[in-house]
Amino acid sequence: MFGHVASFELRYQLKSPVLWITFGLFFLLTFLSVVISEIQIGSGGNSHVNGPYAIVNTIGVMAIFAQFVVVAFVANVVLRDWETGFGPILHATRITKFDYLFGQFTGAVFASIIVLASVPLAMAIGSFMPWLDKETLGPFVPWYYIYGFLVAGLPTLLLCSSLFFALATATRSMMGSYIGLVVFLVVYLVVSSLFARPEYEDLVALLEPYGLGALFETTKYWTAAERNSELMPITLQYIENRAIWGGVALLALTGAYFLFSFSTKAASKQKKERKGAVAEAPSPVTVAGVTKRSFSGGAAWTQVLARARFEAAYVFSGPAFIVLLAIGLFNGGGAMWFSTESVDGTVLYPTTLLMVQALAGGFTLFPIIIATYYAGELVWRDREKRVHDLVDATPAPDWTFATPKILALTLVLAGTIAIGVAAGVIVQLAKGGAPIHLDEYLVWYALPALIS
Amino acid sequence: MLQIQNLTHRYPNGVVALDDVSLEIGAGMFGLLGPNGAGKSTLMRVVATLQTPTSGKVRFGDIDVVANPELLRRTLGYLPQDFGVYPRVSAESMLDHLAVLKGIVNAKERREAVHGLLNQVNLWSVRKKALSGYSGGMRQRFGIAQALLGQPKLVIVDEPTAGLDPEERNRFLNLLAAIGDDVVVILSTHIVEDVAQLCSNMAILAGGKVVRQGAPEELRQSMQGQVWRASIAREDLEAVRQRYSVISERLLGGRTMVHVLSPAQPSGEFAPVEGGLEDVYFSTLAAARAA
Ligand SMILES: Nc1ncnc2c1ncn2[C@@H]1O[C@H](COP(=O)(O)OP(=O)(O)OP(=O)(O)O)[C@@H](O)[C@H]1O
Ligand SMILES: [Mg+2]
Repeated sequence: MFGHVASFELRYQLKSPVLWITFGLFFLLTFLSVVISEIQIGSGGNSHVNGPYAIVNTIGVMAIFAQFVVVAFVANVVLRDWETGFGPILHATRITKFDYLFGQFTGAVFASIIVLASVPLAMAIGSFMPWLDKETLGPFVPWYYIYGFLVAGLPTLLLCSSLFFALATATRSMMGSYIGLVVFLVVYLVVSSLFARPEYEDLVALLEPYGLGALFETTKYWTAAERNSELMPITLQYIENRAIWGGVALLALTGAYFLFSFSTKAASKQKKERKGAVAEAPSPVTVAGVTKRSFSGGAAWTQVLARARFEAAYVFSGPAFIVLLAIGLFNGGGAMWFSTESVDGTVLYPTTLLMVQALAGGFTLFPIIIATYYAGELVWRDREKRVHDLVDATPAPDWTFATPKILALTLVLAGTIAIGVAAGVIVQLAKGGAPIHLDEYLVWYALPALIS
Repeated sequence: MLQIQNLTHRYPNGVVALDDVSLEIGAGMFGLLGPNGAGKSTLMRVVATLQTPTSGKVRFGDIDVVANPELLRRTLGYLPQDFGVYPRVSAESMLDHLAVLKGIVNAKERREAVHGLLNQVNLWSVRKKALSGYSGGMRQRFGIAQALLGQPKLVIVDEPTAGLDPEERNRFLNLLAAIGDDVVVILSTHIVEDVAQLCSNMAILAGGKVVRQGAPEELRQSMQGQVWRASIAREDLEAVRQRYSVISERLLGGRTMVHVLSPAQPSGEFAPVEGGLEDVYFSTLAAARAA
């Protein structure tokens, strides 16, 4: 039964466009980082693009990014039956809670493995591109990719899927799970920057959730030649680190198991008695046509504004918006944070212009992706969710349907950019020492981005 | 076979949806009638182990349903009042999946069961199509098919005929009638006629209470000689309502046909009618409201 549920889940996820879009995205990003030397993932330095160091490093970093996808998969498992209303049919069969929950979980984990597998695949294929400088290449060793996937990729996937599976079970909301992930990442970044001093090195390596610190600890003083020919060994510290986080993951899964139930509970007996239908007297009868209705131009504007608010609220609370924004902030925030460290090691002031540059490089793309995505989404959503019959049948003129969507998109775009600016201000505040010029953000970043 | 004792269910928002309900349901078809919000779906979900009741007992054969839901699920077929489906999954593969979950592990038996049901609910020609593209009635038929998978001993179907066209409704009623004499089938509906045609026993639920139960035919017999009808003009309606206990009013050719309950002929304009199950239903509800 367990195997069947897992394979059904995997087959279901394999049909989902999200899986293949993210597979393609990860493949492309990795591929470009291999074949174009200006694009780098992690810090390859001057080691071979297909050497063990670069491979393990890239897989480790991409696995951290992959968390945004993993959350979508595992939360979907928990929420789908709840949201579609198909759950009662499944819960009334003889499947056990264990097989149901963990079978689906396993299927979703395999789906995330497939997505992350695009990374070693893209690196391997990229390394065969004919135009690559032979100087930057070593021999093709398949084991490097497998090793990297097993030690730097898979553990992160398993940890992340367990944690957010539990969180989705507890919150019953996609949004809640994503907020959890963002909080987790922010805490991770803040804590690791606070402890980024030599005396804490061992502690960080032991406790850091992705185990990359422990893994790369031994390579710190490696020469380029060593980086190109030797795999980082599995140290005791790495094993301890994985054991700690493996324990956390198991704990989360156990929690999810106990939180979840096929049958919903009734209210406790003590609660105040209240009779449902009987209590209220019926309202006085209204004859049809008594409510005033207006079909004038003024009414149309009220409708436009009402709908723009509705559409914008829809986008802001949608999972795709949150995923894209989170990835964007992760990328842009990182760019801003490290923009104060120049190449030669000197530390710069976090001036507004520096932030704007970093935002433009690391974040600009995301508002555009979000806007494009929702341009399609807003048009098709009504149709898909079957509300369009209700909406189309209302007497609002047609143009009141297109205008609010455009308004809403502009609002979303502006909101996204504002969030980027807010992140910039936060970075400046955190680093301190430079004046914050909101007007410069506006003139140099927000306006150009919005207009484009 | 199915015993429901003193079942009470209170939702977290304080609504008491079931109020001390007791029922004995034997093999065969059992109809649950009741107005919107009466508690039919709540009762069915509790019996189908999807909700734990606030208090009370449910037994099926020797299974204590509240204590051992997993035992009941082995012999249960359940159709919820409404349900959604996964996108991109065909009726056939969803049914196959559900068949495994219901314990039909042998691949050959499973294929036979799935194909048989797809034929019986007349979805054979569209079995490869995604469920999300089905019409409302087609989806309902898929729901019926999954409820009958695996030869359940207890079948609970919540408004199964809602949304079916007359032909499909007949097909479904025949399908239900044919599932076997040793199976307990509980169906809820708003269509009194379904119960009259199909059920050997029934109960009327109102405001979370059982207000009437028995065999449809006996209930109908008990009303004989007490139902009278008259065709009256609209303006006289209010006066009739005041004077007699009106069971039902129906428009007929611009005038109103009223049925009233009375031990003797109310007045010259009233003629006796043979009371139908609908009269039983309406008079019971009227009495429950008055109480
Ligand atoms: N999940 C819920 N939370 C709170 N109250 C609920 C819930 N589900 C139902 N109720 C309330 O319980 C009462 C009975 O509802 P139920 O769905 O059982 O009625 P029903 O007889 O099936 O009605 P219908 O004919 O409309 O399907 C109603 O007053 C309803 O408002
Ligand atoms: Mg109902």
